[in-house]
Parts: sequence; C-alpha cells; structure tokens
Amino acid sequence: MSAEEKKPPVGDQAQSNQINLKVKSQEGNEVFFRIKNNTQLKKLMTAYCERQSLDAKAIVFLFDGHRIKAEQTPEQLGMEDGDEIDAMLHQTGGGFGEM
Amino acid sequence: MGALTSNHRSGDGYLFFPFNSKFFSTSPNSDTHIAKKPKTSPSSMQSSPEHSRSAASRVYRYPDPVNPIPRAVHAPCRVSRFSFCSSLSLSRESRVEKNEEVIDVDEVGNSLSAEYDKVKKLKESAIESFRYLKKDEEVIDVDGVVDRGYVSGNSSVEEVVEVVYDGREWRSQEENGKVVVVEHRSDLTNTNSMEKRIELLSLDRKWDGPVHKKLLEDAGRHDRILKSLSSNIEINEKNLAAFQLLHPAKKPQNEVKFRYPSWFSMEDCYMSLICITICAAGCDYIDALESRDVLPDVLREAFVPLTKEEKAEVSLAFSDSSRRKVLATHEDSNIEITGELLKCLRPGAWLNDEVINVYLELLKEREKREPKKFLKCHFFNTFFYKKLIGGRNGYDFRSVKRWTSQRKLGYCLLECDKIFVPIHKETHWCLAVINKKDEKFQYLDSLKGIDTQVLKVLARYFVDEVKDKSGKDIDVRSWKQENVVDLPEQKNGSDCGMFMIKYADFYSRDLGLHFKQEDMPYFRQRTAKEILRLKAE
Repeated sequence: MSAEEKKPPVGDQAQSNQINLKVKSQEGNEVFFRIKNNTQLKKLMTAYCERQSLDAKAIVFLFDGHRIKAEQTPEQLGMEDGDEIDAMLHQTGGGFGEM
Repeated sequence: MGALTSNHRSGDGYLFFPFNSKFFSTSPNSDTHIAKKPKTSPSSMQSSPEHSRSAASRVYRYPDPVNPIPRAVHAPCRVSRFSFCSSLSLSRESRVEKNEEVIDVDEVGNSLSAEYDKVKKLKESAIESFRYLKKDEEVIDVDGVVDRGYVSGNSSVEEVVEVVYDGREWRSQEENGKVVVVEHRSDLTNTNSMEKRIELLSLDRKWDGPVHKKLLEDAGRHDRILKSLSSNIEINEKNLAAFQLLHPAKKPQNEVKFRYPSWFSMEDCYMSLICITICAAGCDYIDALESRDVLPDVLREAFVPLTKEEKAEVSLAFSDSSRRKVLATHEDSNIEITGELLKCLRPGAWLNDEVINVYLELLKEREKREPKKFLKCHFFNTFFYKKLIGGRNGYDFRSVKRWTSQRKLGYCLLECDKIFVPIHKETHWCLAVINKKDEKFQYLDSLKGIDTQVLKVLARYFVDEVKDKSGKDIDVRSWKQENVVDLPEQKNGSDCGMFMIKYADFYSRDLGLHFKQEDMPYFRQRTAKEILRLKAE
C-alpha cells in the first residue's frame, strides 16, 4: 500500500488499492495489468490467457519463482506496484527429441 | 609343562568370570603385552595357578591373532584337552578330576534345557578354546616331545588317535552322542598306563597341525565374519590398555549382561569369546561397527520396496478413474497433482514439470525433517534456468534475483552444500549442480550429453548471487566445471526425468549414483507413492 502511495498508478483516477502488475512471458513479452489488491489473481490469469490465446492449463504463473494460485490476491502475496509475474509454459520431457 | 598345567586348572574359573564383576575390573598391572607374551615364554608368565593376576588379563589374550579360527572348531572337544593334560605330566589327582568332569558333562550334556548345563558346557568349551590357543603357541615345544614319543609309538595307539580325531570332527558338526563314545574310549586308554597316555598325547600333538590347517580352511570358508571380527579385535587390542584406564569399571557388567544371551544362542565357543572381547573393547568398538554400517543402510533406504498397500494405492492413482481427481496438494508450492498429472509416472511416460517440482519440494522437506542425514541443499524448480537464460543476452540475473531471498526460502542459499538446477531442453530433462561442497559445477545428462554453456551460466549466476546476497566477491575460476559422464545411463526415450530427479535424490543423500536403468520402474512407483503421501523418504 505504501509503495502504491509513493508511486501512484498511471491512470488518473487510480484508486488507492490498485496496483500495476507486469506479466512476462517466457519469450520476454510483457503485458501490463492493473488490479485491485484484494482481487483474486484468477482474473488476471484468464485475461492474460485470453489475450495471448493460450490454454490456461498450459501456463504456470510464478511470482518470484513461487507458483501463484488462482484464489490468491496480490495482497496475500505481498505484491507491490510494478511487480513482475512470470508466465511459464508447462514442460515435459522424456529423452529423445530435437535438441 | 608346569605352566600349562596351571593354566588348565585355573581355566575352570574362566567360565564364570563373565558373570562376576572380577572379569572386567582389571588390575592396572594386567597389560595386554604381558598377556600376549606366553607365545615366546609361557612358563615364566604363568607359573602359579592361583596367581593374583585377574582373569581379565587372560581373557584379553584369547583373541590372539595367531590362528583364532581353529579354536572355534576344536573348542568343544574334550579329548584333546585330556591328552593335553596328560602331556603335562599332571598329578594323578588332577587327572581324575578331569575325567570326572568330562563324564559328568557328557551325562548331562544331552539335555540343554537346564541352564546350569548350558553354563557348564560353555565353560568347558571356553576352557578348551583356551587350551587350544596355548597348544598353537607351543607347537615348537611339542615337536620335541613328538619326536621322542614317535620312536616308541605303536600302531594301535595311532589308531586310537585317529578315532579321537574322527570324534573331534564329529563333535564340531553333530550331536553329543558320538563324541561321548569317543571320549570314553580315550578315557579308557588313558587309565591303562601312563606310557600309553604319553604316547597318545605326543601323537595327538603331532596330528594337531594338519587338522588345524584343515579346519582353519573350513572355518575360513564358512565364516568370513569371524575373520573380519578377529582382525578388528586385533586392532582393538592395541587400544585396550588405554581404554581400560579411561573407563575403569563402569561398563563391564552391563555389557556382559547385554551379551549374555548370545552365549547361549551361539554354539560356537569362539564366537562367544569374540563377544567378550568386544565387550572388553567397549562401546568404542560397537560404535565403530555401527558407523561402518551407516552407508549400506542409507543405500538400502533408497531401495525400500513398496508394500502391497502402497502398490495398490499407486495403481489406483494411475487408473483412469483418478484422472480428474486432485490426488495431492502441496500447500507450500501451491501445486496440485491430479491423476492426469501423476500418470506421467507410469512406465514409459514422460515426466512433467509438476511432478518433478513437487518431488523436489519433498526432497527439501525431507532434508529439513532430518538435517543430519542429508546434505543441506536447495532445489530450484524447473522454471528457474529458463528464466535465468531469458532475456536478450541469454543471461538475466535480475529476473531470478528475488527468487532466493532469505525471507522467501527460510534459509540462506549460500549456506547450502549443493544447489540443484533442473535443466529442461525441449523434450529432455537434465540436472545441473552448483556443488559448493566440492567446489565444482556439474552437469548430469542421462543421455551423456555435454553442455558447457549451462556450467558457464551457473558459474556466472553463482558469482552474481553471492555478490547480491552477501556483498562478497567470490572467485569460482578454480572451481571445476564438470560434465559428469560416469553416471547411470538412460537406455530408452522416456526415463530422463526419472534419472534427473534420482540424481538429485542420491546426491542430496551424499551418495554415489548407485542405480541403473533397471531401477526406473521401481523409482517411478516409489516417486508416485511419495507424491501421494507428500513425503519423500
């Protein structure tokens, strides 16, 4: 909250409990979201997948290397304005393949 | 000769000393060197039978490195003792005593139920083993006697001697019955005349050597443990005197009590003597034994078979009915394992990141649970390396900088002995290790691939990480960058994930990679079980 007050979001009518988050894909593409502190991150995730035309099941969202659960809110995770979320593709492997 | 007699007489007391405190409360003058001396000058050391020297000093002499095994085989034979006694030109009285004793034991020997009998038997065998030891030591003396006796020896006596030896061998393998007969015969022979007795003895002695050898071979073949024990005792003997001084009277009785039942369970007298000596050597010895057993134990733990219930549980989880169910939820990592995901642990399937990440979490929890048993490790998840090499330059420390804060981890990354980094390459799993313990970076590919780039990146990362978290500059140029090639090799196109997590498992146990392709089906099942229970063993 304090960080947010120091750096008010870009939007002019920003509410005090809103923060900006950046979702970064594995390839390095970034998408920005503004979300309420107490809104479940599920919303952000679905929005991201829709925008990127991705299957939600194929993606893992990480915050500082830690898996984000859909029910969690930015507040619970201690997210601050400008924080970055990683959108990683699920991985699988067995051995032989193109390398 | 007189010395031996005295030994024999006082030998009657041997049986009992484990049971009274005298056994271990050794007087300071009982010194192993003295005890061993009889080898060279027996008579001077043991001239008086009821000498004040405590029994313990004699006991320490038992496991003398010279031919320990023959004693084990010969121990229960009374015949030899008898002839031995006569060779010493015992007084008639003492000889009669001996005969009585033998008969007495034979009569009761068949019923082992009464404890008294057992004790008596043990006593006898113990005595015998001592006597054999002495015999070994005095072979040189005896040879002279043999030469003399051989001249006057006749064939009948020789026959008797042979029978005696038959009996002896019988005795070592079979029940008492046969032996009793043999012994009675030898008793009779003995009462006939003094001369014959002496002859018998000398011949007996003469025969002693080869039989010893033969039996030694037998014993050696049958019982490797005995050999290793005796060599251990040899080592321990050296420390014995010092040890006694340090621990004068505390342990003996307890430990004798502790070992006491083993006297009865073991037919082999020598074994019992070893036990006594182990007791005498004290806890140090037992500790040493245990610590030596640690490694095999640890290795065994990595291969504990699944119980029937566990197997059933796993196969249920693999079944289609469990596909949509959440079978395990790892709270800390927010990973839910559904039947669908877990199915990747079925033989032939490719492992997915979820299962690997949960398993690595479980390995970390295992270490937290038993920090003494496992190395302090950190297990990065499967996304770490991808993040680290993201960005334009193929290296982006900033994006993973916050992954390892002490607040997030609950421990300092730099304190870890080993840091495991799963490497995902398109369709292949490998493992990289920042091995702080041995100061090297390792790359393990079950298909024996080589990747120096990974090692370079991790070296760079580690320097940056140390700088970021501790503010120190670390020089890793001396650290080895190793593509591990001497490792269990994958022989199919599906098990690399399993190999990868097992490399991590074994390394975090500080074990060598003692497994192979054939173990993979078991490891798959075991991993499934451990994920279902959310507990890695």
